[in-house]
This record gives sequence, structure tokens and C-alpha cells, in this order.
Amino acid sequence: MIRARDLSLERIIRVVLYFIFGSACVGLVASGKISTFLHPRMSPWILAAGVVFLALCAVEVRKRRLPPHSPLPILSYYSLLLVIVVAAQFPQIGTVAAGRFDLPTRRVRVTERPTAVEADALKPNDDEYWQVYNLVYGTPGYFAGRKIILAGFVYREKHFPDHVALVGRNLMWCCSADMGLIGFMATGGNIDSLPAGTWVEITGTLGVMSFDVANNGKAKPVPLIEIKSIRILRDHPSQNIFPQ
Amino acid sequence: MFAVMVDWLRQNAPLFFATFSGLAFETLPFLVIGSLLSSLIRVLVPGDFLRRFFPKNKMISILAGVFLGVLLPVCECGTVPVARSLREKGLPLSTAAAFLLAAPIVNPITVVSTIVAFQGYVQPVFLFRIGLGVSAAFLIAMIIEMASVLSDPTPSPAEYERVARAERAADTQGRAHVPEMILKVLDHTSHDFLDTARFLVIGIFTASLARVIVPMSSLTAALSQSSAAAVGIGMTMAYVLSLCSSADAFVARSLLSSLPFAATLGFLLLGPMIDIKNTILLSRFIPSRKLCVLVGLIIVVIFTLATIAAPLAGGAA
Repeated sequence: MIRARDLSLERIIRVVLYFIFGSACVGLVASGKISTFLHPRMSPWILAAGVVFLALCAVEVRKRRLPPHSPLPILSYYSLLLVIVVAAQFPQIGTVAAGRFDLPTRRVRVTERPTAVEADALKPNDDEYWQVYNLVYGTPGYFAGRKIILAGFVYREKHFPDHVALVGRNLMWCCSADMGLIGFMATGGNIDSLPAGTWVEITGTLGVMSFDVANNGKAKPVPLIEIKSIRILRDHPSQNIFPQ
Repeated sequence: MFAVMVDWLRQNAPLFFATFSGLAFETLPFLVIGSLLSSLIRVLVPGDFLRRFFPKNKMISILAGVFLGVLLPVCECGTVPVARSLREKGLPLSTAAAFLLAAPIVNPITVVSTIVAFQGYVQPVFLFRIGLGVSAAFLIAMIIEMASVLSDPTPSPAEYERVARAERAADTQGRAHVPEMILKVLDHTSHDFLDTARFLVIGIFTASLARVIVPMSSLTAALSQSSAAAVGIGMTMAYVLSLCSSADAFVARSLLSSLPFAATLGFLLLGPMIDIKNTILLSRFIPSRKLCVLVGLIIVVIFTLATIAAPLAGGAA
């Protein structure tokens, strides 16, 4: 049992905690893995915090004796340990579709027409995915008949029609706390046989279906991809889409 | 029964983990940066300088507290330790409260993120968020000042003088040994951070649980035509989601497609001032009864201002 009043042990715990936090902040930003948790625009702040954590670690190492602060409750350290454990487990427990399925509530007006729309086949990259998504959901009839090539993970809910799955991505505005699930409904190919979470690249034609997305008795026209071919991806892009 | 619980946990664990990890990575860095700023103020800025800098007139002093946030780019988690340092340096409680409430809205990061998030809506949203946020912070600080709702014993002038003398002595020593001063700043940072972090983590844990238990879709489904109800729902979402003020504008922007502007306004105004994690964080420094009064006051003022302004803001947008 760790005793909060054991000051030398308390100092060692501080050194370890600050080192873990500092190196995690710097390492996640350097490796780009920070995007699992946060929008990349937050990177400078995380990096700055990482430097402060490492400086605090260095101070704890250099300090000959603890300053005359009152000892902190052991909960201070357990709480930070909890953060480390949960953050380390998050990628393992499954970041795919961790956000709630909320297709109809997340659309916004598109102010710039993405270049992917001008091509013969719609093949949105990560930067343009959100804009293409909004354009197609805004006017599904206009895009009916267009060829589309799309990467995403397979996702299903109980109220989905038979033989239809969502080829989805996570939408992250700020951090994984506000993550939502977006994507395109797709049917055909062997998508029925693929387990949820499988990464695929589908090629197909856009059509329109009437679907009660929110499962509240109000069906709306939404785009539906008739799959022509489907390819399972072993190396897939980031599962998160970051609106610009 | 057990099987149902296991199934529920299995279904909701990813959302809980996502929310907890996201909020922790978003807020703890700002807390440590805020603790550093707080320690810099505590160690480097003499209290009598701050007291001279802030006007004697309470109303102007509160206004100065409101706009001090422009200079400090930290979100609401970071402002708590800074406000604590300002208070310890002898600033009036109402001035520190004005800073605490306004800084998350008027700081440069929040201002820029609001402008970027609401491109196409820039003028009304930016102006309404800043204008109403500043007004609310000023109003609440004035109520605190006049009604003494959070009053605590104000140190006597003799006590201030004793603290100032000790600070001057420490300052003289510190100038002679810069490395010692840096060590002192970092030592205070460490203590402040650890002292506060547990409350923030408990707040994040509670907010993550609430996010799992309270489905946002049920809140939006409860919307009616009343702008007061919409403001209330937007405020509830802000309180439960506990997002960082530096980036909540992007989430608010996404809400615009499915929620009335009134709800978005309530969301944008309340979130930076108070939410689940901040309520628990503030409980470290404010007794629970006074904290309840403060939270109630914030909610009432924001609700009133947002409900009055929502039709105008919605029309302008």
C-alpha cells in the first residue's frame, strides 16, 4: 500500500507520472497518434504541455528535498494513474465506431466545392471527405448514378434494412469525447458476410433509399451505394475524419 | 440481470473510454499550462503591483478582470489555478470571479476558434458569444460583489502589507538566483497541478458517465418551438459534454444543422463558464454551499440572457 506521507516514495511517483505524461504528450504528437484522441490542431498545446511535464519531472529529480507543501492525498496520484490506464486501453478496446451513430444530426452547409466532386468517380480523400459527405447527403438525387470509391469500416445497427451496412468513419470535431459516426449506406457485394469493424474499400454507384436513420419513425431519402466490387483493406487510413 | 448489465457495459464501454480519454487529453495539458501561469504570477508578480494595477473602483476592477482573459490563452481548466493565484495576491473576489468566468470566452484561442468554426456566420455568432459572455461574467461578478453571495474574509490592509513585505524579500532573493526562482516556479506548478488534477479527473469521470447515461438524441428529441426550451437543452448539453472552451465552437457549429440557434447559443455561453468537470474542479476551492449558489447564479444569468438574445441572434444568423 502506497502511503501519501512517505515523501521519498511520493517523489518517485511524481517523477514516474510526469515522465509518462511528458513523454506521452511529446511522443503522441511526434508520431501523429495524437489524432486518436484529439484533433491535430491541438498538437502545439499538447507539445507545450509535454515540455512542462518533462520540466516538472526534471525538477523532481533534481530537488534535494521536498518543499514545505502539505502532503497530497493519495487520490491525486491514483487519479492520474487512472488517466494513463484508460488512455492506454482506449485504442485496444476499440476506437472504431466509439462515437454514437448520428448521421442526420451532423450535417452542415458546404461553403467550398471539393475537387473530388469534379472527377468522374467520387473518391474523397480524408481532407475532402466531410465536404463530399455533406454535399451528397444534402442532395442525394443529384448524385444518383455517379461512381464512387470509398474506404471505411463496416458498421451495422439493428434497425438497418436487410443486406444494408454502413461504410463508416469517425468524425472528430475536437476530441474523442465528441466523436460521431458518419458514412454511406451500402448494399451488394459480400458486405453481408463481413463482420463489423472490417476495413473495406468499395467501388459502386450512388443511388437513393428512404431510410429512418434516427429510428424515430421519420424516414428520409439518403444516399445508398450499390456495390460493384469490394476490397478488404489491411492497411487502412486513419479512422477519424477531421473537419477543416 | 447480470447478462443485461454485461451487455450494457460491452455496448457502452467504447463511448465511455472515448469520452474519458478525449476529455483527459484535452484538459490536463491546459491544467498544467494554467498551473504554470498561476505559479509565474505567484512567484514573479508582486501582490502590491497587482493591487495597484487593478482600479480601486469595484466596477472598473471587475471590467479589468473580465478583459484580463484576453492576455491569457488558457481554457476554463487553466483559468481556475490562475484565478486562485490572483485571489491569493489580494484581488477582490468579484474581480477574480469575473476573470474566472470571462477568460474562457474572451481568450485569443476561443475567439479565433469561434471565428473559424462559424465561417459564414462570423459576425453574429462571434459577437453574440463574446458580447453575451462578457456581459454575463460582468453581471455575475457584480451580483457577487453587491450581494456578497460568495463573501469570504477579506485580509486587512496590515495583512496585505505583511504579505507584500515577504514577497519583496523573496523577490530580492529570487533576482539574485534565477535558477532558484525557476525551480520555485516549477515546484509551485507541480504542487498546484497535482492538487487540482484529482478534482478534474473525477469531473471527467462523471462527465463521461453522464455522456453514456444521458443520450444526446433524447435531448434533441425533446426540443419544442420555444426558444427558452432550446436554450435550456443547449445548456444541458454543454454542462454534460464538458468540452474544452478552446474548441467547443466546432461542436456548436455542427449542432446548427439540427438544433435551433437558441440551443447553440446556450451551448456556447454556458460551456466555458461551468460544466460537470469544472463544478467538481471548483469544489476544491469553493465550499459546496457557495458553489451551488455560484452554479445556480451562472445558470440563471446565462439562461436569461440567451433566451432574450436568441431571437435576435437567430435572426441575424
